[in-house]
Amino acid sequence: MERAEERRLIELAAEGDQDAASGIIRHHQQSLYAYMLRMSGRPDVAEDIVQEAFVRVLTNLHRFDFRYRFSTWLFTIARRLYLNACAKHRPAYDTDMVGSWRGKDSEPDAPVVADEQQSVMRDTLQVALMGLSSDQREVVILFHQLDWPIALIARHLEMPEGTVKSHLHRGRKRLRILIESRQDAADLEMQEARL
Amino acid sequence: MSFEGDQPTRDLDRDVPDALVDAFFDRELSPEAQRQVLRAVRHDAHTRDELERTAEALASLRDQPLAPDMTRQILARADSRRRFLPRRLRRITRTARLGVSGAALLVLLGVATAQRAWPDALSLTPHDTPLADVNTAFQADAIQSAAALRAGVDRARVSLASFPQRAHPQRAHPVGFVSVEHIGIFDARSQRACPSGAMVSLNAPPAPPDSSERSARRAFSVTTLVRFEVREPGARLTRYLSPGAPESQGEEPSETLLGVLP
Repeated sequence: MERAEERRLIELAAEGDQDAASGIIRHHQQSLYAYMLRMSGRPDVAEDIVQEAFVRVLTNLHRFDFRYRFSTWLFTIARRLYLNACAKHRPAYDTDMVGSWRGKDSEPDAPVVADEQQSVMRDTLQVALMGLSSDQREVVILFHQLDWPIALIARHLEMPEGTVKSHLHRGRKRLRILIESRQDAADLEMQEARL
Repeated sequence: MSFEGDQPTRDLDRDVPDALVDAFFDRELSPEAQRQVLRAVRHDAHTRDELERTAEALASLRDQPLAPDMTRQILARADSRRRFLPRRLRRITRTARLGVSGAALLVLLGVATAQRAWPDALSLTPHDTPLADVNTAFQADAIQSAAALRAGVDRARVSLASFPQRAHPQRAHPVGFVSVEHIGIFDARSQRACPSGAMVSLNAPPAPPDSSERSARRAFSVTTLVRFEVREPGARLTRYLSPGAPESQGEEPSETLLGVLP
């Protein structure tokens, strides 16, 4: 969405236009949900935080400063909600629930095997992500999943760019190692099952 | 091999350094530099493997989980906190807001114009008074009032000192007087009151009591049990019993003349 269009929608929604508010939600909910789901590993937690973040944003639209990106504001609010939720009750990662995700490419008529492989890969990825420190996980998700530039991540997380890069490099390396070890373990299990 | 900016400084042939691999994934390399890295890793099996596996992991990260459509729930929750307005109502609200703002602006302009045309019309005093003067005047007023109040108390004490406890035996009341030390002052004219449980009215107007006296009586009705009226030439002692007072002990509200100064 272009910034002019986004600004128009925000202004209309701030005046109480429900259609404009719907447009804003539809545009941002996918990326915000993906971010929260990868961070928490729990669809119910992700859904709850996404909804609450949108509600807070929609009820405070008149305070939005158009010099900044709307998505940054939304993600910052969601992140604070997530950190608060973690402080109150650490959301435990749920493999079964993560296994029930449906990816973009998993159409109902897609081959079952391919779907299963994707599901296993997503599960492996989430387990590996949860093996990273919170900072590493967040930086890796923001940079590689949401394509945020380093400078923006640094502002969002309120840390120097050098620190962001350090988390990114270590997180990426660790993510690869964790995925490999999990895949090796899965291969071993399959071999044992065949025997 | 070294690396500066987004260009490797010399050909990559063996041992691609970690920093370059990181720069590759950080999207900091130019397309040409990226090609050089990819060429170089052909000869470095370990780095190539690492690069491929990392790229694979990051690619799977881009396969975002599909979010359920939460629009309806979000709008319902938001609407319960801050109402969304229908288009027509929104137009009316906007017009009303503009109208109110315009009216406020017109009033301000009118005031500004009036002030310019008739500078003295809107001023509170004939000429500007510094705030310090107002403060000084207020202090002087307060001192004067305190002196008047003290004089009133002294007069009341003198009057009451000679006041017989049962001036009119037929009308006297067993409650008697409160001690002089506990007497508060009520000035019917300036309506200053001290909630002390009793009241002395100085220079009160002749009966029936005027509105200021009545209002003062109302103001005191919660706490006042005994009322003294000191008037020239004679002073009257009246007992007021208010329904809320602890001394009333369930008695009906009443007003009893206890006695008159000789």
